[in-house]
Amino acid sequence: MSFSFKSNSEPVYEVKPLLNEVFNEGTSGQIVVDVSLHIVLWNNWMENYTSVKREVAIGQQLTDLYPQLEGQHIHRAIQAALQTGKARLLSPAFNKVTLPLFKPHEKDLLVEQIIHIKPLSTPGKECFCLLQVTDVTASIQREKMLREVASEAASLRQTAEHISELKSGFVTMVGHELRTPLTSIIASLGLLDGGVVGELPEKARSLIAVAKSNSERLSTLINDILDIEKIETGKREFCFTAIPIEDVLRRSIEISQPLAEKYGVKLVLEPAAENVCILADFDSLMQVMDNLLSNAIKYEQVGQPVIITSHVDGNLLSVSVTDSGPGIPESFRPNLFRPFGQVDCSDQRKNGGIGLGLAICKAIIEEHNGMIDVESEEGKGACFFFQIPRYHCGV
Amino acid sequence: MAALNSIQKNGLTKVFNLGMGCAANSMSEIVGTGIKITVPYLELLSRQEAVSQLAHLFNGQLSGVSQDFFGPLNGSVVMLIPKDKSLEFVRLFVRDSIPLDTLTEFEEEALSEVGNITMNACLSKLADLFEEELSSSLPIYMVGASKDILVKKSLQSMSELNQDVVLLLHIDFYVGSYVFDAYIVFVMHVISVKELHKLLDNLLERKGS
Repeated sequence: MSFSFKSNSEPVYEVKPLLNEVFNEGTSGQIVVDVSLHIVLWNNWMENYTSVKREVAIGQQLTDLYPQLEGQHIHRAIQAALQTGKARLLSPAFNKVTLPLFKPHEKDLLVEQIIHIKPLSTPGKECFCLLQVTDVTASIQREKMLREVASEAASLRQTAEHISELKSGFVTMVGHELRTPLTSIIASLGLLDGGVVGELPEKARSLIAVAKSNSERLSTLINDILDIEKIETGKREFCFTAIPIEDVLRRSIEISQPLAEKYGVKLVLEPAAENVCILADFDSLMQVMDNLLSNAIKYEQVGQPVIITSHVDGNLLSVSVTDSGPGIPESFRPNLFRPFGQVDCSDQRKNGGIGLGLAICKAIIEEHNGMIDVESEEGKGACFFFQIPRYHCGV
Repeated sequence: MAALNSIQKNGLTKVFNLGMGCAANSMSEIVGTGIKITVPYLELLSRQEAVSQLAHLFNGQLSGVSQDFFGPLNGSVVMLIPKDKSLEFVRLFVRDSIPLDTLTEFEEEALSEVGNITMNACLSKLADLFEEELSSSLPIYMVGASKDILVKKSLQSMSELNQDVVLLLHIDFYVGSYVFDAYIVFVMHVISVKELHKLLDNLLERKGS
């Protein structure tokens, strides 16, 4: 059958050669079979992917050319399409036996394929069926690689989670096992220091004071380790309530006052943001303030003030604690809020730091949907600040 | 839009249940897992009613496989599954799936084939029992809200959308020990629905006699 059309004064085009070219030069495999599955059309793509020439294919029954298709899903799907006039899609997920197609330049690579089976109707009511074959080998291989990577990632994640659980369990167990005898040691040292067994020689008192101070440091370290472990594993419970920030700041200054006096440092609260509430866990926020204030006090020079400020910036409340101590070198800042990331080990010893306080502060502030950071220049002090969303009281 | 009376509704439900039986057999054979599909109920609704009912049932995006059908009845048929369930659904059929939160191309094709088999079985059973011929197009995978999918599948121009009638089939897929709710939606012009009434009455008369 040949078609032609005429548009205005344009010459008459023969459509059949164009259709032939479209069919033959397509970028997918195209086969047309008749009702008895005899091949009627076989395009160039099929020649390239099967090495079966058109002259050889045409006229043969598809199941004679490929006997392995006999009775398979693809065979039944073609027959059903021819009988019922319904188009079918054969996806690579469910169709393991398909046409034996190989890449033109990789003859040992069987092509993964999606086959569209489309019944064709003709004016003479003869039944034909178009098989359109798309090469999806590349995308199947990509998905296979992705699957392997995903499976490897899942396995690594599982191992990491297992190790983390072991570590967490170990830390908690060791922490508790150390804390119990340590509490007893501190209590006993306290009794000795208090003269329960009578007046001690000066040398013994001095040794007991060293033992007591180091035991207390060890106890703080164990408590901090258990604390950060609890926050990181989500086992610490936060009780959020609306709190005026002024209450938090005043209370934290009251608590830190004895330490400030010990170090000869003044605590100065600049006028706090008035009537500003935050949704916070009071005890946790006090822990943050206690950490920031005790750090600032320990690093501040005698006679100088540690300044505490608060102000509102849009929906955020900022609180800062500033000292004029030695400051923090630039190179230390990236690790400052990581566990054991404090500036200098010798400095830590001098000031009683153990390197977990800021990591705990960060974890607590993040639980409050906030952020914590520091601005500092070496030799010119440090300003630690955190921001958390403000809570509109009465809303 | 003439509603289906209870006899027509029962008759049509039986027809579709027979079709689903055929689809389940084909799929069990392909997938190698016991599959059962049932049609607990169906309804004839206006397109707008169908959109609001589907929006009420599925609060979110849907994955759909659609194809057109031609013959004495003309229209589109769409199998719909909530998008978040489609991952779980496909992965029951496809082994070695990738644990991602969207369907891969491979899985989309697999879902399209499941929809194609199911909807062709429905159409074939209708055609057999009505003693008519119904042909169908290739399936297309689509994602969207029920409103978008049904507007896309409407045969009419936007001004005539209200003339569309929707035959909504609630279907239950039983795959092993899992059950999935899905819908098969036939979107037809009111003329095709009149033809459906006629063919259904003829069928009931033949079966009754």
